[in-house]
Amino acid sequence: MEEQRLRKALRQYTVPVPRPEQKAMTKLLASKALANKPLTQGKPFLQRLRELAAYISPTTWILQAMVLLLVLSGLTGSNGAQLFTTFSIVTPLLGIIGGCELIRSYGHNMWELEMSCRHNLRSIFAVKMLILGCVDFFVLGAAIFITGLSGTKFALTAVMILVPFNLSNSLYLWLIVKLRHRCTNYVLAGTGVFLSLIMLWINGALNQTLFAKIFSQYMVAVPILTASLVLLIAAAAILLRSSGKGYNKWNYI
Amino acid sequence: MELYLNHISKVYDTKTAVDDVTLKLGPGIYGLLGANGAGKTTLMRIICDIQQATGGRVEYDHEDITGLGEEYRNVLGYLPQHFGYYPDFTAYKFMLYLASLKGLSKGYAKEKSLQLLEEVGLMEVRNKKIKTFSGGMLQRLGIAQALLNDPLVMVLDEPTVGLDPKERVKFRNMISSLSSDKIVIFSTHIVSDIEYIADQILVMKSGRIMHQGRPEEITKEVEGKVWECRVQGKEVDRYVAEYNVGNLKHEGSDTVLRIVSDEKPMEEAIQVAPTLEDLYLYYFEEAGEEQ
Repeated sequence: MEEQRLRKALRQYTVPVPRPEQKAMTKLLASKALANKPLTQGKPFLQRLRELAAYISPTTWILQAMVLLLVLSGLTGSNGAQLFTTFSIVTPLLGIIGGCELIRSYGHNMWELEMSCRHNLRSIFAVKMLILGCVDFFVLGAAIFITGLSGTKFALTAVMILVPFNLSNSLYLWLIVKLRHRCTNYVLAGTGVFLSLIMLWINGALNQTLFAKIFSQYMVAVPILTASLVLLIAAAAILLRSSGKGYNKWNYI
Repeated sequence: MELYLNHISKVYDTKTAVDDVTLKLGPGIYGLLGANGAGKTTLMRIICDIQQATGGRVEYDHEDITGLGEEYRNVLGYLPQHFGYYPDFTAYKFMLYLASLKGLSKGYAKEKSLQLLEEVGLMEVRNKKIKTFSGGMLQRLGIAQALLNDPLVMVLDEPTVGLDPKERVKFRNMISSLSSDKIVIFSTHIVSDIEYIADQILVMKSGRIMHQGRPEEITKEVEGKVWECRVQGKEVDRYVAEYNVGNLKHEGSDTVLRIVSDEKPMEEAIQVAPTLEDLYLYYFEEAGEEQ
């Protein structure tokens, strides 16, 4: 009896089932409240990409577009060997633009502030590299696809383009990490030009240039061989650095 | 809430920038007083997890800040001594950029940025490029960005540089209003800033914390070492060369010197109550002489 009385009393306090429109309104109000909440638990990665992309310098995009258009324009009327030469020269230079965007943090002395933020400098570098790298990848991929259509072997084309691209970018990153504030746009540009000369030599085009006419073949080869050795050492250093101590290394001055 | 610096050291080749510093900091305002090269900036960078200590560790609520990572930076607000900016950014865009890096939601970031720009008196120039700003305006922008995420730990390196007296008073009031539930550490050469708002003073010299305490406790270190002397015109230069003169005031044909010295500089010297500035001169004038 007592139990029945209690059940009857409790039934009076049952919460009514919300209607669909009430549920929708609750969700809307909750999302608005969340939008005004100070700190997010964790932003979706795509949102972070979109937000940071808005702050990449317009000059970077313009220069990127110019170089890529130059590459694509070089495709017209070129045969297989000339294509390889064109791509090999240009791909090291493409990474310079991205590298210059990264070192803006040091050049404008923003690195301290950025390092102290929740999404710190390491994260900013990674996201910027991803944004710029994706753009380069899609355009280069299109270029590879086009050369594939002209009958050149796809895999060989990919190797001739992507290997110098990735190696040169690895070298630029190593320079940025190693030199920090001392790594200026000139350092990256000089390195890029040097790498382009190496690619010219590998493609056998350097011997036919004016440079080769002035200097003997051996004199041309020595700096290029030295540069090749430096590149190998840089690659080894990058591999050795990825030993799991990344966080502390980035915060080490 | 507690920040614990546990035997922090930082050594660059042969130079020791921070030498075995151990501090326990609870909510309040801490003024870090030291001459150039004392190690203040290095210590602050270590606290902000920007620089790696050679030895020791910094703990926030009993957890190593290097392990906390994002969690710690979430509650951190930092204003560096040499404050950089992207010149093509406007003040408002700069605030939104840093708000984005601090993980603030878009709606809140816009509201908070405008509120802070209003508080620091930059609302009217919010859409102007930062490269057009004066030094004082830049410093105010720096203070504003440090407050974006309502930090629980605020580290301000020379925050009053470039501010005029009115702006410094405003800054002091702003900081004083924050201190009740936050740990605020700021360094400055302007002794009056520390005197007026710091709950505790940390005196740093050659990488070590020499003294820690309230302003009235700290100044006891130089009690009995501050003198006022009245000298004739010709003797002023001799006393200035020989002693640590904190103040020089002409009164008719005489000059009144405020001297900080272990021994009595002259027979007629009168002992006076020390101030924080006298303490600074006592400790850091010696460093200047050594250099």
